[in-house]
Amino acid sequence: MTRRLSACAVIFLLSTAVLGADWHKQLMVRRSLLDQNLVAAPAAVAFLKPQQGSSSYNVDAAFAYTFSKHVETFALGPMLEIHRNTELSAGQDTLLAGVTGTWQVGDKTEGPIAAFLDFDASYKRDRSAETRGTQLHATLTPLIRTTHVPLGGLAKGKSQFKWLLQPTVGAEYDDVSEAAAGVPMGSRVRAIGDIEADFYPWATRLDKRLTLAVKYGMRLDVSESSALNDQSDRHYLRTASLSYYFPREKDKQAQIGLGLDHVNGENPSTGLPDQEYTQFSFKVRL
Amino acid sequence: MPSRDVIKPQVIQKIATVAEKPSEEIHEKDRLWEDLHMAPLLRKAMSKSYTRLAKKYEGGLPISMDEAEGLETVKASIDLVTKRANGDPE
Repeated sequence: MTRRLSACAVIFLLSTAVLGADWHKQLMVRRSLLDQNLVAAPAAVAFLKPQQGSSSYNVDAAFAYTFSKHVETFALGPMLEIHRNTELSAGQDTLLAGVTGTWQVGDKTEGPIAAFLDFDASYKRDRSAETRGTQLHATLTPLIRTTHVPLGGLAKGKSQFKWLLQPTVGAEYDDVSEAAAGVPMGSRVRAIGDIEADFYPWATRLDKRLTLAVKYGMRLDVSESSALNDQSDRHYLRTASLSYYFPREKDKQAQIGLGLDHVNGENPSTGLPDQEYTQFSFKVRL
Repeated sequence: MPSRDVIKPQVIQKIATVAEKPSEEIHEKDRLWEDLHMAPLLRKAMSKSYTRLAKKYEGGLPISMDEAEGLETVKASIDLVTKRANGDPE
């Protein structure tokens, strides 16, 4: 299985490279594709080598490539997402591989609302939970014109301090079709609700290289197989991410930076078990 | 083949609508984020109206969501829509 996944990763990278010199313009590197229309959270890599004891590392990275270069409302392409953290009290080791897409509905210049429907269909391998299966994920991110609250993608505030809010709702189908002995199999349907507040201090002076993203998310198990039925149907995730990028943002140029992330809660979509930690890491965004 | 001068007021009018400003207050040098407060998702959503503009003309081509999101200034937006309205894919 590991060989097959490695082959998938290599094919994914090679297929993008052979498509032309400007292939990188259609490549996206993020922390996760399961919330791709919130603030563009960068991929994060951290490594810890203590004087004594074993070293540990953390990777939260997602790659996607869009084949829909000349389509104005639809994007579709392969995706690969890795969440591995050996530093946590309860480790995380999840891989998602499949297709991802975005469909835009409504026209913000013609009406008060437009929205992005993001969807992912992926093979999911969770080594921490010792499960394999399929995950279907769909979220709707609306842009709503309002007078006082920045829900329409138009930031509020002064040129040196801007902020905006972005809600997302959705649903997810998570099917475990293979599992280690004694680990239950079955499927779950979850409702998804996220709200994110993004702050840009010294927005003009720093050219939005400094961002603070505060997010509150909830996953609610609305239906599950009897084998998977447990007491905890509500899963909360609170995160705060401070990121600083070294180069200024330019058209499709990778941005490297540093960041501090505080995570409190759990995210069953990416296999993050319930815990709280703060982490300093390198970040990459394309 | 539409000229840049034909496309310019139409693009500015679209930007003015979402930036909630009068068209007369939008200038080519304005930066979409810094001056007009347009966050990445709103810029991405402009692909639909820019494409409608470009396709009004024979041979006009669409503008993808990624391209619209990557635009930094009003000038860059006018340039891109003009190119696509004239059938230039690059």
